[in-house]
Amino acid sequence: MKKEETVKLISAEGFEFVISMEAAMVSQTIRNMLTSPGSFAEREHGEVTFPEISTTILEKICQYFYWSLQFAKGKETEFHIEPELTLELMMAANYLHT
Amino acid sequence: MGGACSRKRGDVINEEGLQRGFSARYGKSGSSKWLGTSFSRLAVDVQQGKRKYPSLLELCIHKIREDIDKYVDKYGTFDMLPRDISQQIFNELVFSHSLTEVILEAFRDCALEDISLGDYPGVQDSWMGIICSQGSSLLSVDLSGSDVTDSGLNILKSCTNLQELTFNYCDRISDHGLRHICGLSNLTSLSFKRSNTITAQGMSAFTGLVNLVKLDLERCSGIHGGLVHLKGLRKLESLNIRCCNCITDEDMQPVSGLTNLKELQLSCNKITDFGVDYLKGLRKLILLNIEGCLVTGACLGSISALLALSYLNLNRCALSDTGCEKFSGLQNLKVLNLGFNNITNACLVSLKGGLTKLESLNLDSCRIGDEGLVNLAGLLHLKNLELSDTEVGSNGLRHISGLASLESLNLSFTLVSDSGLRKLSGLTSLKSLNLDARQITDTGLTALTGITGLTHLDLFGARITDFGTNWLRYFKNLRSLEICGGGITDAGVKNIKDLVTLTLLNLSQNANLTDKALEMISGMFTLSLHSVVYSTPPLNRVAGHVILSYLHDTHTNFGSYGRDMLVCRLRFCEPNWAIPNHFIILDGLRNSYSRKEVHIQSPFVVLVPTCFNTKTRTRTVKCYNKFLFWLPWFDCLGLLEHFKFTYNQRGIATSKAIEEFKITVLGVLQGFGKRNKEAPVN
Repeated sequence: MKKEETVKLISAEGFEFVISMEAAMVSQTIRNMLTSPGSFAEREHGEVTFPEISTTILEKICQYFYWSLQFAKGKETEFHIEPELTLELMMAANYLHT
Repeated sequence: MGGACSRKRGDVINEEGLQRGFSARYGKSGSSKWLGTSFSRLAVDVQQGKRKYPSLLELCIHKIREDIDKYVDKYGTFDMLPRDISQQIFNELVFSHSLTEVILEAFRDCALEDISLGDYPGVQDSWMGIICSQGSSLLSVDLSGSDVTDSGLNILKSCTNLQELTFNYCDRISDHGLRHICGLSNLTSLSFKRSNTITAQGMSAFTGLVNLVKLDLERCSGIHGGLVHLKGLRKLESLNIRCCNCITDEDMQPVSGLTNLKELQLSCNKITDFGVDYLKGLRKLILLNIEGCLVTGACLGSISALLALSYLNLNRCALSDTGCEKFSGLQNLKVLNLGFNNITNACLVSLKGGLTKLESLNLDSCRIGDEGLVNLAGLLHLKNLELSDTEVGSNGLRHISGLASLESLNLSFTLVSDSGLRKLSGLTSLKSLNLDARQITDTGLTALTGITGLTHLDLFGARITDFGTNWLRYFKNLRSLEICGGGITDAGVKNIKDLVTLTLLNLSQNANLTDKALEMISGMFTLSLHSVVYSTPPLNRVAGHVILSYLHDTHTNFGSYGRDMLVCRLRFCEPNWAIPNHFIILDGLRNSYSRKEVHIQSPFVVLVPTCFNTKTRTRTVKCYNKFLFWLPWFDCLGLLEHFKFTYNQRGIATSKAIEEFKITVLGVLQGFGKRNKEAPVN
């Protein structure tokens, strides 16, 4: 995959997740960050930092991005959510418009 | 997490709107024929929504709902969550019927904005403390159908920011309770449907609600004389006092000053032409409903001054042709209901020319015939035309053959025969067609095969045989189909089962059907259930309906297989029944089955116990919800009498029947009144 087709999402602890642009765009918030004229840094570097999202949660979110793309293509599997993550994941999902 | 609140209040209201849509059906009046129709439409239309993947937030909320007890045990409260999230969890719990008083405790001080517990089981005064703990955040409360009393309302008065308050069907609220809300001056919407203890005196509490835009007092039978207290509510735009049956002409005097009114529902009251005269100054009025009032053509003079009117319901009034020429001035009319009036072709002349915006016209049971229809030929925007029970025959149809916008046409119980149906072949926008008439046969169907957009086809009493079912395959979009003329056998069902888009099928009264037919269509039912039950989360967003209307004629040949099928289907959809907004119609539970216990959890169930007998009447069906509905056989007789009466009297008794039995929907009912005139052929 070419670099311009990917996005780097960085967690609170500094872990970096490189995912495809298509997957990242599932989040309305990330989409806005990468496309709106106001967020120059994110657009330029293809990087978004989430100082309030932990690595575990961000990983789960990335998994969700790919899961939803599969789902939209007709592969309707179940997306597993660990009970202990639910509350935190929910708040992140709310923030990310996901 | 940052302040980006993804769900604004507006979204929540929309979701509520979806929920509330169903409780609103309660109050719907009109003939059961209409109710039945709208029900089946609703049932199938809902499932047309586009499938999209669920959002992560929805998945999380769904997960929390599943394990709600664990979360409540672990955290004890949700007050650490942002308000919009706790609001969504709350809504989800309500929607899935998982909320209990214990769980509710976790929402104390969560600053929720909306408490929508309309028709929710078990709600009583003890819930009010938590509800009021939302304090100044609370904007809307719906406790319809609850056991909340006047003292419960007393607690609520501290929530001074409340904008919407809904207490429909709360039998324990009286004038005393109303006193407590008189200080809630931020209220814009107030609803106390069917609160029979409210009187004119209690209504004095409304005088302080100066910001009120919408007031709903439908079915409040004791409010005569109370409208005088509304005089100062200058912002009022919508007033619903239909089916109060106590509003008289003198009550209209205070209404005449409410000049901002846009919607006025007055149906089923004691209002005459004299009362209507008070309304002529309401120049902003868009909707006027005087259905079932004793008004004559003389009131049309006053009504014709209401130039903004776009919806006018004069169903079941005492109109004759006299005065009908006044209609021509109402040039903004889009919906006109003249059903069950003593009007003839002469009246239709006034619709010609002026009413070019008309989209919906109801002439049900009027004395109109073929010549009258010539006046409708120019109504090119007409989408719905109701000609049921008129003298219209095949010759008249040529006048409406050019109405290209027509989407819904009802020709049931008319004189239209097979030869006339050819004139409909050009109406390619048609989606719904009712041809419930004995003289329609297989031949008629052949003329319709070009109308491929048809989604609803009613051939209830038409003499369709197995041969005719061959033509059904042209209707590739068909979602509801009724063929109950008695001429269908297993061979015909074979053709029907290929209509994969079908979600509602009525094959009652086809006495020659056997287990084999059931076997064939059971696949279809499973399919349609499947899409509801196993759709991925959040499945409770799917507002579907499980219809278990059965082929219940006592003379049918179903053996043990049929009965097992029923058991199997009941089991199959059981997990789904906890989800609200599912109407379940158990139509014709057979004796042998009804000996077993049926456990149902759903807010809206109508049992039509056509096959219950006296031996099996007790504990046949256990209901966990007050809106579930079962009756011992003795009461059922009363219920059936009501329906009988309803059909004979064309809807006059319906509102009463609905009220007494809390029926939310009259579904697939047949075999009474008019439809019984001609027995099905065997």
